[in-house]
Amino acid sequence: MTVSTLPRRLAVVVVVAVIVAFLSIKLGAFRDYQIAEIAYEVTAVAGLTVLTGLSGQISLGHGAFMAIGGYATALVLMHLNWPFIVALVIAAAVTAVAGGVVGVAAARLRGPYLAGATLMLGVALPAVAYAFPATFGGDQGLDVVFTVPSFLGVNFPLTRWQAWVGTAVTLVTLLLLANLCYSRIGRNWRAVRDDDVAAALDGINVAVARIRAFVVSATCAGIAGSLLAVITALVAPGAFTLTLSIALLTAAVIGGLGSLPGALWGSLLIILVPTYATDVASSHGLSSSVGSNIPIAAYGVVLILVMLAFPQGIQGGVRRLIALFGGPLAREREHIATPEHSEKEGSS
Amino acid sequence: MSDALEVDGLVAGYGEVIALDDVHVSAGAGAITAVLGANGAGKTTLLRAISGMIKPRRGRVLLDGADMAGRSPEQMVRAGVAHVPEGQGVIAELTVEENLRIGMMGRRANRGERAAALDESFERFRPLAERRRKLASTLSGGERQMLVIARALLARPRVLLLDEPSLGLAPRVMAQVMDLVVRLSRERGLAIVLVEQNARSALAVADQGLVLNLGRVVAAADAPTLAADVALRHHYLGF
Amino acid sequence: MVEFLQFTLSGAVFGMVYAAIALSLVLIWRGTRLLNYAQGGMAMFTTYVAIEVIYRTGSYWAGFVVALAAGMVLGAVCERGVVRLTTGRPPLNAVIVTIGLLILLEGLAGIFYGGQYRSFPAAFSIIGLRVGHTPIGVSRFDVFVAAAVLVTTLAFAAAFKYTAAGLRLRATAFNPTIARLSGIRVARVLTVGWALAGLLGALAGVLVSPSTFLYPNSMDTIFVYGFTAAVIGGLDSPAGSVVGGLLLGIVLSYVGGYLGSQGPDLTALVALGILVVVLMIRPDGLFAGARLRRV
Repeated sequence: MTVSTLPRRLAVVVVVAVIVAFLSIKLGAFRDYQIAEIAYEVTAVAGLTVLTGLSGQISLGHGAFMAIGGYATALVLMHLNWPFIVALVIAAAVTAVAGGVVGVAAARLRGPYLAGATLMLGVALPAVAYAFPATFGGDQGLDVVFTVPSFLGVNFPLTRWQAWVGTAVTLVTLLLLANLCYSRIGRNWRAVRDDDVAAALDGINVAVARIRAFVVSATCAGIAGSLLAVITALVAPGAFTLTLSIALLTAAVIGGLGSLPGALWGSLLIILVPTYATDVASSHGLSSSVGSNIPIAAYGVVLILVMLAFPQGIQGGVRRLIALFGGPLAREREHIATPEHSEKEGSS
Repeated sequence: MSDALEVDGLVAGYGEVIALDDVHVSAGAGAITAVLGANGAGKTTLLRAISGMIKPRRGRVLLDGADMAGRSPEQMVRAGVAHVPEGQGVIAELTVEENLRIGMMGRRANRGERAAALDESFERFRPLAERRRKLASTLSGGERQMLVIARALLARPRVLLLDEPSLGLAPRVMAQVMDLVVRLSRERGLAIVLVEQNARSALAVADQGLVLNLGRVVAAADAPTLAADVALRHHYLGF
Repeated sequence: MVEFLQFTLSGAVFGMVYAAIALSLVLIWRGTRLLNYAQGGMAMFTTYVAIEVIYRTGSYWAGFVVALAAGMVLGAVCERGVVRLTTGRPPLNAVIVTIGLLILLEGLAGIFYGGQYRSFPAAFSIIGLRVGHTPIGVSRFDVFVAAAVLVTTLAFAAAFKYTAAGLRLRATAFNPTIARLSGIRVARVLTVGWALAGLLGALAGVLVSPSTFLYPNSMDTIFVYGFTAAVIGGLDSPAGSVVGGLLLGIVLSYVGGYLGSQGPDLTALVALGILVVVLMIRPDGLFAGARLRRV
């Protein structure tokens, strides 16, 4: 199974890379920036969708891991002056360790208790930056310097380089993630998610599987945070608020829980809908309090409507469309789908 | 004897699985109808489809001639169908009296009528009266079954669906429960549909029965006929 | 020593507000196995309604009562109109829907009432009370806050235990299947549950807004701490909510009080610490029932 699909995945990666490169040249600097933004969101959301969708553990605080990755990158670049790729790897490693710690603490927690703990994590961790302003720059944060490498020439726009780097890192991360999901590790996650007692009886070490899922998803978030640092050129507590953590979960669920393409749909939705709504509102010249709040209200409505219309997320909707028009493609995707049965009590 | 309950051409299932295929049942008032068959034959599904816990795909559920298929459980209770599900039928966190009171919530009754009905219940089911204010979790298996049946009766049903009422009970207690079931049908003219794994004891008390296999009715006749059919018993009923 | 008393009492008052939010979450959790992430937003919105009424009528109590009524209506409308549509779907769908509701309510508040910070009146004097010459850290209003939450909680507890409606709610919460099979209209009961939770949230909103000012995001932090209190106490336990709320309120008060300028930044970390410690020992909260044996 893996052998025949790995080439397919590589092909997808190459095609997407080419498309993005093309778009980044055609479209202007602002769109390039958005591509870069979407890239790091997708990375974080992909990690979260694997954690929640495949291993069944919810996290309302993944912004904390992005913060760890971002600050680690900023500090390495600032104090050690090493190349970005090295800073990225260090940030990933540090976040992986953090993910392990959280995973161990979370291993025995279920559902809403895990939600509560991770929610508080998402709130508390960025506050550390305020508590130690000397190291972390406090409210103002740390500036991050990121430049275009010289071999690309002086006229190569920074935003385009950011889009390229972001996309490249994201695609590699997604590729590795996909391989993991279809491997035995991924199967163990799904087994633990569906029935952890049965999984344990099958010889799967439930705690290790759950911790491993946290480590992997935290690492993805750390990588995303690292990208955020170099793309926005700043790491500050204001970039890693609870709103970010909530947005990541929203993107994961609305895109289609457990689905990597879903991470893309979800990220697109949470980035583009508010931007679009803001554009529409400001083009109508509404007063500032009304004008700035209509996009917020609209975004809320969109979340509700999409969630009600697509209970399996956007990717679920895509799957239904594909099932209508093309059989074989649909069957392969079912493999990685979310749990079959709703666990809500009282539904008869 | 008129048919209090008639099920006609019922098709029901879960997701892709069809659990009941074209099932007919006739349950007369004052009679006990046994539903028999191996595990997975569809017995529980049948009761669920009648009481509204699941929606049938096709077919009719006639209560005194009126089709009630697809109504919700709350509506079925008010229409006179009480379902005593398999296994844990009491709400363990509530007291015995509270469990009984719940049974009356489908009825229109003033406080005096409710109090009278409760007293009547406690009269008939003495062990429950003794434990009135205790949590249902403190009752033994047999007492819990008694409580569940008492609660179902408080809804003043015309049809009583019993799913494995003797499951997990000691033989002596099982006999008492069966005894109770018989008396109920005779005294109150209830139409009782009794699902039982233990076909032998079910046929001993039932007036008629039907045998399900993989969702279909493979035999339907009065109880003595079914009990006498050795081949049928060996094949589907395990004795 | 006096400081300790002051911090303890003022912390307890905030703790009661967290407890009110926690109770509203527990109410909905027990009845529907859902977490209402919009609870803070709903409380904020009803507080805005209250302040409009207060401005127009000049009466605090009119606003107070309208807020509670609005809370019930809002709760019922959200359940009936939106959340009900998620039954039978994956549980996280309801999470996103309530998050969507939260964002919608914050946007609507901004549209109708503007985004600036507004002050909200207190029912009673906010001057610190004294015993002899020593200030004890709480005012008459603070005492009212604690009393209001306590009285409401006890009233709910009594209603649950002694009324038929309360029995229906409890039966539905413990075992919705058996409740339905007994003829209880479970759908209606759930709406009532959300309405009562809405009332509790509205109460929390009017009680805490004099301290926090009112703006579209003003209830976010209160919600987070209320949620934490519910988790600490155990999501199935109303008593746990009160204990969790008091514990959190008092400890955080010490942090803010004794640690001076660094205090506010560390409150979230301390709360996280408490949460981790409690959940390590009791993964289902302090007042959790017996757990199934895990392999």
